[in-house]
Amino acid sequence: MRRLLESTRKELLILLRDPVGMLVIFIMPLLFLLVITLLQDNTLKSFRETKFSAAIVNLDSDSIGEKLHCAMRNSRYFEIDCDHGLADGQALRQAVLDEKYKVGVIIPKGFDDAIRARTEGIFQDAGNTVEIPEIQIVIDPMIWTSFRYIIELSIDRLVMEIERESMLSASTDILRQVAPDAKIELPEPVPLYSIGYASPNPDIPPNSSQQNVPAWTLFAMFFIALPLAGNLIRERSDGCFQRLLIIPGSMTYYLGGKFIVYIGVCVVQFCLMALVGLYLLPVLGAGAIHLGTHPLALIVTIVSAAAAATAFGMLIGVFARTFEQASLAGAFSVVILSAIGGIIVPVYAMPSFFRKIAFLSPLNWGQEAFLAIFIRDAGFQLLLPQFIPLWIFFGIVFAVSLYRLHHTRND
Amino acid sequence: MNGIHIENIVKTYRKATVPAVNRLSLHIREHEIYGLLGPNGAGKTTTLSMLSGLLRHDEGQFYYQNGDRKTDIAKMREKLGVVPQNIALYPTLTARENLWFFGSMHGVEPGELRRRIDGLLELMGLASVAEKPMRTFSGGMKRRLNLIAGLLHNPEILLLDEPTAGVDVQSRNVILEFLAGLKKQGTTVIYTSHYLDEAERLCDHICIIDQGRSIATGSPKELLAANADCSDLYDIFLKITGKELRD
Repeated sequence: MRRLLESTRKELLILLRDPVGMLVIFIMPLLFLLVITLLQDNTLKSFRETKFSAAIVNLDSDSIGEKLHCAMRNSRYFEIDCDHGLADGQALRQAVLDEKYKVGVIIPKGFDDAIRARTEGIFQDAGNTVEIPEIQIVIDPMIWTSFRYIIELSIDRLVMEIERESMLSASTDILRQVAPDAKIELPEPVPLYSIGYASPNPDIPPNSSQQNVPAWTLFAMFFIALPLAGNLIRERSDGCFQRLLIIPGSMTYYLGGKFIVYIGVCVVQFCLMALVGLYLLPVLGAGAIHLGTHPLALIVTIVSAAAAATAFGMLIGVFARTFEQASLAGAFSVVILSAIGGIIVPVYAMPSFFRKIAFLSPLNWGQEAFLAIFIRDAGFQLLLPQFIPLWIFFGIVFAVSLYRLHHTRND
Repeated sequence: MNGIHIENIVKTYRKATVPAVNRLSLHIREHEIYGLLGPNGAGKTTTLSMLSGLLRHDEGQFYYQNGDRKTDIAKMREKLGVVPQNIALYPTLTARENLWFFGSMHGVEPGELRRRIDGLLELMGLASVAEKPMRTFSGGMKRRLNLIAGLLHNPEILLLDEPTAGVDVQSRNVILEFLAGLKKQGTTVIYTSHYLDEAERLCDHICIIDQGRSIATGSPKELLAANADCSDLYDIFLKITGKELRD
């Protein structure tokens, strides 16, 4: 036991006296978490809050065109320039291309008449044969695709509402002609749906912090591969490892000390990231995280992910021959495993192929477990499908590392 | 003869075409200082690595004979002390922290370990820098600390791989006097070096090896007697290993 304690103490002293390693282990992931969460949060907010500068050229000058103009002016997505002085569609297109407006809407001549004719045609079996000239929407080519979808959806909705209203109005007029004594009163539209989250804590809406805190904690945990591998390579090149190999029984304590310290590092990483998620991110305007109500499941998740990450770092360290190899292999593999594991982009938002291979990344198993605890309030038993692969990964990777270490002795 | 017996040892590294050690046999008496000399690549470090258990040999045997009893060297590793050619210490740990760690790994009790560390640091002139990180030490100080780290568990057999390489005359003198003191205390020392004058002064027996084979063995006096045309060990070494460069 004393040998294990001394090995742990040695490992801790070496780590604490390595400022670059400490920076990589603790500061870099915190910065990642802060920057990415705030960026994502602001991007999500900007989806809700952005107003697009827009101009409308109404070649119809009839009531529907006016209604669309009015609806867009009242919409939260558009800022309409009413005094643009643009005479036709071509001038509006050029203005959008020149970045004066993000959106241009051209209401064609005869649009109002065509809508009315189509409505009247319904009652004369000719509704579908009336051709309606299209409203043309011109969008700045520099605009993000996601913003483009918002513009399309909101204009589509406004146009549909106007179309529905005018058809209803035309239908009512016809009905009044057919039955002048009938009382026809159109009810005020009422919302027919409500949206909520299927969460055990409906008061706590999901936010980018809930996704990012576990994601970047796992990234940080696996990023210890770099300092850990560096530590192993330095010990081999200095000869300390060989000196320990000669001491009977010391390998167990040597590896045990490393595991204790690096698993401890991962636990501290989680605590720091959680504190940032609980207290700092809300102050900076992002949402706070909710740690769930199953502390045992949370502890097991942290330790399982930490063990897998430490074994992974050891694997890189025993196979790499130089610092350069370890840095390259460590950084590359962690970034790739993070990307396919849903750390950078959530798995549900990935293309189909990447969704299928996400389960190959141990970061994905850890991420799924953390999210299940934080958002779905899952307990220990529900998380077994995530824990088991993490421990199997740990076992295989550790066994391969031990084999390689043994091979080093007999090379 | 009581002591360490190395018999017909063969070691070929993976991907190597010729053996690094080729049917080498050595017999090292108890309580003597045995010098293993040879040019670069002769197989000295490989032999010490196999003896210490760091490398596995392909053929032959290592054993310790005490009377009629033979013990496989692999089974008495706790009695071995090894001082590698590299400064096998942690640069960011202090001298005391390094020694404390390696002593603890050998299982030396804390009180005894503290006493030994203090004594050895004093003996090697390092007591005043005990709390300084090893990376701030000069080459000679590092070599002396490296030597102490191999002695903390009071080994009966000490394997030294070029313990005086690259150190100044004063540090070398301290190390050599210390080794002579160890011999008096009954420690068996097997030692490699490129400093032939040092080996001549210190060793009871010498073996000159080249290309993994023993090519001359005996006490310094015996070797000089057998090579009457040579004035010292340096001449004998060049005579039997040749003057061409070994890299």
